[in-house]
Amino acid sequence: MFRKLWYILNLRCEEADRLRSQQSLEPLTRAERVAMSLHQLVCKSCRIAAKQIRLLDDAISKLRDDSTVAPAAETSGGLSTDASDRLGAAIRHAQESEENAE
Amino acid sequence: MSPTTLNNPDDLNREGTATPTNASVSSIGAAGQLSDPSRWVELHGDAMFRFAMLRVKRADIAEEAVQDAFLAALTARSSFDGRSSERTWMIGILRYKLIDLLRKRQRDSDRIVSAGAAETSMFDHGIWIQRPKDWNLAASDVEGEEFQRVLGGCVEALPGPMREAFCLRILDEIPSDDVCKCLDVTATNLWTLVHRAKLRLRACLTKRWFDGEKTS
Repeated sequence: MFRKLWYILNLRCEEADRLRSQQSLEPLTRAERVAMSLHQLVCKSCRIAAKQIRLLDDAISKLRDDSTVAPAAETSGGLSTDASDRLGAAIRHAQESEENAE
Repeated sequence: MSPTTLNNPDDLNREGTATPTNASVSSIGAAGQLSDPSRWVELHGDAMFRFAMLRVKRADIAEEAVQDAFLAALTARSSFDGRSSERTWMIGILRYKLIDLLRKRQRDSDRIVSAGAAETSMFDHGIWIQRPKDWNLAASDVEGEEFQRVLGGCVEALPGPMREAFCLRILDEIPSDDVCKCLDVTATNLWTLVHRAKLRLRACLTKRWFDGEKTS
């Protein structure tokens, strides 16, 4: 009991931030939830950080949805011409051996 | 050696039973019928390569995964039912090929995933070194194309193990147990990797989006 109370009252920003990030992946224990909420109540920085995490989660959900259709990553280009040729050849080769087997 | 243009006569017969419903699904290939495999590289090659690069970051491995996926798609093409778009179907196969490759690579090089690697912390004795800045954004903003592009770049910039853990667990939503096996880490380690990845993404976004583009 005292350990929990100690934990709740002594929560530091780093731990509060970790809890908030963890929260989107798995449920927190009650002591963790209380500690985090209380901490955020008095700590503006952690409130802002929590908002950032929420937005990040939103952005990630969107990225996840899109990545099944067209990946959002633009920094890496597409296939090189050589790579395209190699892939095309591999498919042709597989198709031919498939036909020969029939 | 003329490659046949029809995949399979059955595919044509089945076409009538499937109803192409939405225009949002990429117009590539009618529902239930795949496009000619000789056009796959042209149609999907770049997108699949980028999908793979985001996750493995090495061109040779990404190419290998894409090739494996194409060949698997070729073998499995009679099982394509047109419920998803051809692209989604291909990406689905690619995802599993990537997991296979990651698993294999993990075995070959039993590299240690150190979740506790030196990290520039944002905290000093548990207190913020630099106060976080309010992003002042709505959910709709972060779903915008521009922001998503920056986020994609930040995911790519994550260090190897963090990126793999993040992509498999968070983006691909593969169950923890499977990801742990694939990356050969403990559940606690996986959690730490994912958590650090998220913190890094946040820092990266703050830097690239807010400090970089919008200097207001």
